[in-house]
Amino acid sequence: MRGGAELHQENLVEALTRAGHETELVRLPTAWDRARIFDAALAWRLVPVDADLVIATNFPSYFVRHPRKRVWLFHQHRAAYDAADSPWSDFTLDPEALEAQRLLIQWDNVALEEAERRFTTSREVALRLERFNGIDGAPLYHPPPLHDRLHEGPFGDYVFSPTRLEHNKRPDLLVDAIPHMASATRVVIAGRGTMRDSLVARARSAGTAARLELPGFVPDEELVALYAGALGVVYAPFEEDYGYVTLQAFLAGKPVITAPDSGGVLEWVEHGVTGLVTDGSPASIAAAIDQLATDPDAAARMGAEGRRRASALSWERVVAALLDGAGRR
Amino acid sequence: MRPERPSLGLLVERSPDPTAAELIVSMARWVRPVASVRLAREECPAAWFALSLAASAGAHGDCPLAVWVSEGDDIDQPVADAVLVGPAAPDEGRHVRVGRGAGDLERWPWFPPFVRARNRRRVGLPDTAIDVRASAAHPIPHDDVPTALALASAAVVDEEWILVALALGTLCVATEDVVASVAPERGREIVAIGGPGELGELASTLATAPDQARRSRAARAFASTLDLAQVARRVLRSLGIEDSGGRDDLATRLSELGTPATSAVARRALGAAATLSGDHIGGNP
Repeated sequence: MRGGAELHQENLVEALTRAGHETELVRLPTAWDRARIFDAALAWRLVPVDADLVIATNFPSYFVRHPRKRVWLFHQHRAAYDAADSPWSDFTLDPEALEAQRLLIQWDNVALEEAERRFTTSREVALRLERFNGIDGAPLYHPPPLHDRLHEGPFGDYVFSPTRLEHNKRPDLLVDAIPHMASATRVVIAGRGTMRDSLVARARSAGTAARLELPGFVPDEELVALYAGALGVVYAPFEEDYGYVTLQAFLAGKPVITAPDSGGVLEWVEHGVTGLVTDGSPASIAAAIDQLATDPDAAARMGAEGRRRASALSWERVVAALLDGAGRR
Repeated sequence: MRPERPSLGLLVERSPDPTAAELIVSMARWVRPVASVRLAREECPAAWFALSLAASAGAHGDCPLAVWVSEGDDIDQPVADAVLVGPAAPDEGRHVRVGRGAGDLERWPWFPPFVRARNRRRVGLPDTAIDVRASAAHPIPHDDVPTALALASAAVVDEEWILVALALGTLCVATEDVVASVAPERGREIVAIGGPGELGELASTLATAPDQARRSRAARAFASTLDLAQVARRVLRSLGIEDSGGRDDLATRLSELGTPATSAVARRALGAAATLSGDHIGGNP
């Protein structure tokens, strides 16, 4: 299955190749359960990589040994870090799990300290690296997928939220906001996930099902159109690493409504300037949606400022930063 | 089958310094120490290790030489091309200085602040700073001190425990004298220093410092410089003896990541490799 990290890696390879570098993407299968979490890390440790330079990205690829290793950290194994207390983490509080967590942090420190340069995908990831590992990383931002296809459009009668329907993305906040809205704004949440049925049930029980659309997976063309026609974008996940949705919304000229604990999203959403930062409650999100609905000029102004900021990102800058001082052999 | 380790010829003239003797034990993980008297007359080991300047005269052949130099030794006229090792060695180039208190510190695992906090939660302890000094009002029983240091958010330590505490990654508070006993040059970077009357308060402040992970990492990194396994690796590298390949390489990789040899992770990895080498007794790792 291909997720955000895989797309990110492929886009990086494409950018490096475009810049004239011979580039190869190396992947190893990884088991994510605690009992086997060290296996792939150790495998990376032993894999011979004969290249002039290695750019490691997410866990566990940064365990690769290379005299010229640079890390652009997407994320560590979050189940052992900031998400250790989440219901889906198997790093529980029993002695065996705590020892595995201790060892994993130690391994991470050794592997990450070896890098001759360390970047992170966002300030959020850099802060986690500092907080848990005591290691520096410089945020290096990149354009989101579809950056060259997203465009502005009219401010329609719906707010849009493209996201996986999973607990860490909190699509339920938006569904629960509908009954609090004074305006008749509709809600479109595109994406698949395990929460779909419960979201439908919530809307039915609140009597708001008619204002909620859950089209599931939408192809790129439709996604671009949904962004372009929205009044604004609501994106309030829990401690997001980076959040392509924010940048995609900006490139479509839309303001973003978010929550104070949405992590990387807050690096881009400046309250009243590029979007609205709510207190994260359904009522507060509803009030923000109403604000956009009653003042579309303000929505357009915020969207335009977001677009200006997101347009500054480029893969050329990313490649230049990652290879700075590397030279050619 | 374990590949043959390179031999390290030992040149001894008098009873070696106890730390030098411990260092040889650490080196034995990667090389095979052999007393020079056990070598044939013209036999040349992979490298020589002389345990004093005087003993280095016994080296022969075209192989690298390391020499243990103690405080008071005249190193202004060092043996040509020798790697100097010991308390009197310069801390530069190929030479390896061995600091005060060096020993087997690798046996103390690093406990980062996040794991400490979760361990405290598990056993129902509050976020806390502790005092392990013998002079403290309620000193902790000797055998329990390492456990307390591994759990503490910060600790007031004395000369006896400061290195263990640093190896465990504990955020330490100590008096100037205690710090100077192990880290005369870098002390202020790794330990909060205070007068006898202010240590407890300093520890409480440290226990909630925002940069705990960085401080803990610095403490561990400093202790690692005094760990004889690390010293052994540096000396062998200076002598041109690199990691061997194959199964030993796997053990080396595990070791460089700080994996205890008896841990479930090490057993699993080495067990998987053993199935390929025929050393495996049975079952699927």
